[in-house]
Amino acid sequence: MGSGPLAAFQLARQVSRAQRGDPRAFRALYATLHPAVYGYLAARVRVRADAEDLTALTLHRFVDRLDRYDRRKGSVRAWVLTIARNALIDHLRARRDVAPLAEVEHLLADARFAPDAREEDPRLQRIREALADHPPTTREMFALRYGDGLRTPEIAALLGLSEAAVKQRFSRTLRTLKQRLATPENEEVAHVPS
Amino acid sequence: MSLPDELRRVYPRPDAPDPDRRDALEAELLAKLPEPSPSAWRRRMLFGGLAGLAFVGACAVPTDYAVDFGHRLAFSISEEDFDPRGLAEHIREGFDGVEELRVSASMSRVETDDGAPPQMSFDVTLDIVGDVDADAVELSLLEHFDALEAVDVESIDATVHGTFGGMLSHRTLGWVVDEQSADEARARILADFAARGLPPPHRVEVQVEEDEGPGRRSRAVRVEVESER
Repeated sequence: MGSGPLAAFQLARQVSRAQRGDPRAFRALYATLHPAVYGYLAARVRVRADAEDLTALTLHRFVDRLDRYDRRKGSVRAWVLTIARNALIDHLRARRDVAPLAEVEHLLADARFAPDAREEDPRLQRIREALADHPPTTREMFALRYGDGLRTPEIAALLGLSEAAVKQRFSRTLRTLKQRLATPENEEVAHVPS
Repeated sequence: MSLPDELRRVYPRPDAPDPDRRDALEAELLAKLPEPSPSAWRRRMLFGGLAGLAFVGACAVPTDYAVDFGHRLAFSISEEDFDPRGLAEHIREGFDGVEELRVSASMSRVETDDGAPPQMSFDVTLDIVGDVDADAVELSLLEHFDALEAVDVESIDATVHGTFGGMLSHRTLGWVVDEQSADEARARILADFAARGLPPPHRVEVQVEEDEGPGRRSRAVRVEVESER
């Protein structure tokens, strides 16, 4: 299933049927949501078993709250990924003995840059370094967009930002990245994003 | 390779989940669903590969109604960035659901007294007909054009001058086929009349007939509304 408005509408309709106990609708919903939730979590925790435990926790919470879903408040995918993100924050904080929230923000933003996942490609390494100069919310936005394939309204809902703010930040950061990547590496100066 | 493509490579795909664990979780979650009501069970049995038919009759109330077709995106770019053919290919090849695409542009030329060369800019309008993710198109334009600050996005709809019956053929069929409830469709018809300031119709009848045979499931919807202005 795609991620456009029609796909979002179909998911909302499947939730509506699952609320009435329709197992066929739930299976269709699960076939879409399980890969999205597992993909989000597995990219951010190192241990596969942890990702599977968090996926189970997220989807159990999703089913427990199924009757509370209101399509006017946002897409199903954004809703279930918000549950997944909250479960991930709890997991990260527990693992780091109640890490400060600011530290968790950095973990959320950079968890996908696991050292063992780094490539040797120097161009990609430069992009990672250029992104690292941006605030954690911007880095998380980029991971959600280019790593998880989320749409602007879903990213806005997940991070509690307005759609306009997300678009503006994407536009500004992409421009900064292009400028920086167009500069030869040995001519780069210390970069402070706006 | 474009910057968005490189960014996608920056974020590696995780390994696939354990299929046994995934299936076991699905079974656990299915067990938590509420028991389906008899009517829901019947709907479930008949759902899938729906074929919808609508007969809207006895309804000649004149009315105007809007039908959504797609999106219009408008933005300004410089002369060197203006490539209508490339832009059209980018949209057609990059996005699913484009049924029709029109690129139009107007040019403006600004000259100053300080001897600087005149500046040309192009106001471009993209009319995209079809079920296309307009947010994704907008973001892709912002990624594609370095200097692009903003894109205006609006829905394209058309006002159809017709009868209430015509409007129902566009709207109610979708409600009934989607929601699978005659009662819900009847309630929405009444609410739609009220929202338009029309007196309530004398009669609203929604019949749903479902049929299942070898290799086929079908659903016929008949809607009749009697009213007068």
